[in-house]
Amino acid sequence: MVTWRAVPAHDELHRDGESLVLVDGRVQRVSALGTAVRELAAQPVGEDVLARMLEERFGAPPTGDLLTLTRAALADLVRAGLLERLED
Amino acid sequence: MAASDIVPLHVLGTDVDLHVGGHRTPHLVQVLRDRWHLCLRADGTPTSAEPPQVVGATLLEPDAAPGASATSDPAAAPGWARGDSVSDSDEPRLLQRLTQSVTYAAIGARSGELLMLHAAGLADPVTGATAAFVAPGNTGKTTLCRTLGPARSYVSDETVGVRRDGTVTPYPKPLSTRRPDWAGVKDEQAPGSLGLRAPEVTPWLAGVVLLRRVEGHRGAPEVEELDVLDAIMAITPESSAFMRTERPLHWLADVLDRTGGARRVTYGEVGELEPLVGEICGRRSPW
Repeated sequence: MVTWRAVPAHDELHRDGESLVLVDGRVQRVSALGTAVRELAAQPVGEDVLARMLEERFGAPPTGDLLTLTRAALADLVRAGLLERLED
Repeated sequence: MAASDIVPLHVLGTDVDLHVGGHRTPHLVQVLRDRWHLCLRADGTPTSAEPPQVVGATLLEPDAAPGASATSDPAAAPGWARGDSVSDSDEPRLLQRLTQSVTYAAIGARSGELLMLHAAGLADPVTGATAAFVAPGNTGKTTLCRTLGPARSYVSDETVGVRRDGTVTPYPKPLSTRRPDWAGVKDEQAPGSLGLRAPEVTPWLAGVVLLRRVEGHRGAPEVEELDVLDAIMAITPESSAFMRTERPLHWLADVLDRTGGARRVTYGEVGELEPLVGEICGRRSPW
């Protein structure tokens, strides 16, 4: 089973839902959606569960499929080095 | 090494000794004492139990290649904390390189302890309220100090070091000024020769401004308030060793919250910043 987990940050600052995350000596600004994903993935979590929790927090996406949009957000965060994909 | 060949400095709250050797040593010692007069340790004794950082300074014979090894490296003797050594046959270039080496040594020594902003700092001479003007190199910090500094205390034209309690440790180094007659080499000018004085009271951070000088900018400076996340994203590239401090993002956010947030100022002529400097240096301490 594939799960997702936030990469531990050296420091993380939250304001108004958004955040700055310091990982590997680099500061990145993370959107409200990305910030929520990292919060919800503090412990390994599957994408289905994550998608439902995001929907509870932000409501249904106005356009597009919830799971597809969640996967896109996960991919963005992985590319940024802020999330890791775990496989059993 | 003879004590007379050591120029003892105290910069960014740490001791740095310049060990002078090579060609015309007494002359170079005097030049360094003149240029660094606001950073000299009065009696040359250490200010802490930590051994001083050591930077060697060697003026080579006129025909020697820059960077060539001196016959005896002034920073190579045993027992010194850490050594960097600069040698050059061209005096202005040697002075410029020495300034850079002193800066690196001091920043290295304070790494993990200070919030070190790449900034010009001017302080109110009575209260110590300090305005920090953050900017990359060659974009107006030294000009700001030369122009607006004589009525105030000169904290630095290079690095403003902030302690956790909001006080600022000065770095009133020689001012590095570009000269058109020396291609690529800056003239290291003694602050006193430009009417600048070191702080006589402990400076404390009163405000942070990001400078953006635009050639040909007309009218009054444009001031943009930055939200804290944008401000931190803009400031961190202009900081030194900041990421090695404990919870750096929270520290910087706290600094900005206490001092009214950061502003980005777009301007053409540095004289137009006088009201802004006056406003920040007139503040009461939030610390």
